[in-house]
Amino acid sequence: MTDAGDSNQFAREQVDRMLAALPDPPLPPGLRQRVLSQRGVLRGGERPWSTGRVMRAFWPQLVGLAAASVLGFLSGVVAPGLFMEPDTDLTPYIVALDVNTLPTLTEETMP
Amino acid sequence: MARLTDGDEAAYEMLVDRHLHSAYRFAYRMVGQYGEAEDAVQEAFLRLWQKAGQWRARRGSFKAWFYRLLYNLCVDMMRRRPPFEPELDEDPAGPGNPATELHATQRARLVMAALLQLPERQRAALLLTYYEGLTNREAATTLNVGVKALEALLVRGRRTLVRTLAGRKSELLED
Repeated sequence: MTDAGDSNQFAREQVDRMLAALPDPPLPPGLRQRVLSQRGVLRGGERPWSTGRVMRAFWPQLVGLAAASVLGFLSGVVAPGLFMEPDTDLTPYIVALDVNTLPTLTEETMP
Repeated sequence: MARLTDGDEAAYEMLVDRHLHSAYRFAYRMVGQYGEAEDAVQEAFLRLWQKAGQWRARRGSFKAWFYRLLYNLCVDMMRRRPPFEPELDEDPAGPGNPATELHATQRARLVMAALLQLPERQRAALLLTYYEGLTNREAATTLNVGVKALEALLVRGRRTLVRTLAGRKSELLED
C-alpha cells in the first residue's frame, strides 16, 4: 500500500479520535478570581468618582440633605423672628450684674 | 449582554463562569503556552467588560464576538514572540496504568504539536468548530471570513492534520 493509501486509511476516524482524546488544559488556580478582580481595578481606574457620578449615585440623599438644611434654617432663624412680638420686653432675661457684690481683688485674694 | 452594558457585575460574573474554561482551552490550543493563554484570557475578559456596548446581536452571536476578541489577542501574542516549545500537561490521562498514561501523554503531545503546526486561521477554524461548538457561521464571523472560506479553512486544516499525524501513525496507534 502506498503512503497516500496509508494516509487515507488512517485518516478521518483516527484523527477524530485523536482530537476527541486531547485532554483539556487544567484551569490555572486563581484565574477566575484574577479575571473578576480586574473589573474592580477598572471600576477604580477608569470610572472615577466624578462630581457627576456622585450626583447620579447619591441624588436622593443630596436632595434630603438640602431639604433638611432649608427646614432647619426656617425653623431656627426665620420662624422665631416671624412669631416674636416686636415690643417684647427682654429685661427679665437680662441678668443685671451688681458690681458691688463682686469680690474685690485684693492682695490676699490674688493668687 | 444588555445587563453587562449597564455595568451589571452579576451579569459579568455569570459570563465569566460560563465561558472562562472554554476561553482558556481555546487560547491555550491557539498559543501553546499556559502563561500566554492566561494573559490572553484575562485581557479578553477585561475588554469584554469595557466594550460590551459594542456588541450588536444582528452582527452575530455573543460567542462569535467574544472569540473574535480572544482570537485577535492570541494572534497578536504569537506574532510578537520568537519560536517556542509548546507546553503540554504532564499527566493528561489522570491516574491509571503508568504505561497507558505515558502513551496518552505522548499521543496528546503529538496531536497538540500537529495542531500548533497548522496556520493560525486553519487552527482557529478547527478549534472553534470542533472543540468550542461554534457553528460554521459563528466561526466565520469570529475569523472575519465568509462561510465558504471558513469551510475551505476547515478542509485544508483537516487535510494537513491527517497528513501530519499519519506520519506519526506508529507512535499514535501503539497500545
